[in-house]
Amino acid sequence: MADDTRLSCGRSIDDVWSHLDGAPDEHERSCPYCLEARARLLRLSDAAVDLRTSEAADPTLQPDPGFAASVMGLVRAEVRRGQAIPLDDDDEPGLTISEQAVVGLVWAAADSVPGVRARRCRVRVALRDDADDDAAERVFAGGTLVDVGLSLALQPGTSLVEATTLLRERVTDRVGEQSGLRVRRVDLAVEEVL
Amino acid sequence: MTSDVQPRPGGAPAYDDWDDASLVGRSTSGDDDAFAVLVQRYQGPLFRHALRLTPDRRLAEDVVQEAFLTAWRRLPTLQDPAAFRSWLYQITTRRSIDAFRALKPETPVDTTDPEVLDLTAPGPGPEARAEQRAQLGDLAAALQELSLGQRAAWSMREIDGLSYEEVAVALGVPVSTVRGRIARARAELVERMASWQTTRD
Repeated sequence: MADDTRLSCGRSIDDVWSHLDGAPDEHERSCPYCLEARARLLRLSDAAVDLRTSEAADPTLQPDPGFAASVMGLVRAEVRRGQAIPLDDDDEPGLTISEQAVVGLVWAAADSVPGVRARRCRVRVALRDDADDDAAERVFAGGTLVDVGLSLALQPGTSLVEATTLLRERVTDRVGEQSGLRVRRVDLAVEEVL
Repeated sequence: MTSDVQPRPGGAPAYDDWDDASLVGRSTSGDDDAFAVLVQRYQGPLFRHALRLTPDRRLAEDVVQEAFLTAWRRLPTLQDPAAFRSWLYQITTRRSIDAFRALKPETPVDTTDPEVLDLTAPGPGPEARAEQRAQLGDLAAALQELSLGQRAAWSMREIDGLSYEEVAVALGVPVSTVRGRIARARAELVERMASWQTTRD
């Protein structure tokens, strides 16, 4: 198949397109094929912007008004609760809290720290590091110990040290006060400065 | 309270001005309020993308709903939050094309064939809505005459603002294929819009 994007001068539509934002290069300025292609591509580019704007505002090109709500109805029917975290020092715990409920506490605490956007979060029952007989033994010290993992983004100008110190404090306090769990560790991963 | 986040009555923060990656991160860990903002943000563009590939409103809504639901279910496995958008477009594109093929039972359907997007079957003819819009109609109509694969690639790049890499993920083809497809789409579109030119030989 012949390359239908190649102009008679040998350049491709892609070459011309890649210069479209700036001034034409030396070849383009003196090449009638490139100049014509450039003019056409500029018109296409403008038309694409216009099409995007007009379609986004066109009432006939929106989903039905109840669409988002119906999607969210289905989504909320499948809310993930995560694993059940035991609250008491019993091998057959009678009382548990869902990981999701604890994650909600972590987010609320993190969102209260200026400049922090809390993202992905995981809460795991802390296991004894030194256990050789039973590697899966959890730790109970007046409350089940948990490890929190949290990814976050920082707003520009936020002090990393101050924000993360405050964040660890508040997460530990809030989770302790409101769930009865005791936070052993808060692992933070700063993914991005916004 | 020293919060920079305005709490809503429900206790969740006001997410409306949050960046996508943060909302995706929250959704990944099960925050349905964050996901609701992503649904608000993407429902229009995805719906219009689906409508470009399949002519039926109801079908387009079904496809987009399925895309959101599938995305919600798969979120826990998502490693890179930045991939979320191309994911939504990938699901929407595949489902739209499947739905479009299902509407035309005489066309062989092979969804496992990665080249299915390369079929040169033209889309439905120019729509009435397009004709009402003078010059914009010209582009909308010209777009409908492109092959499905070119139309999908070009519009994700030029209308929805995806990068070449994102379009490649969405279409499940190499970036080089996407570049070629979009270049051919541009060449065809400028040809088809020739009527705009006043001094054409």
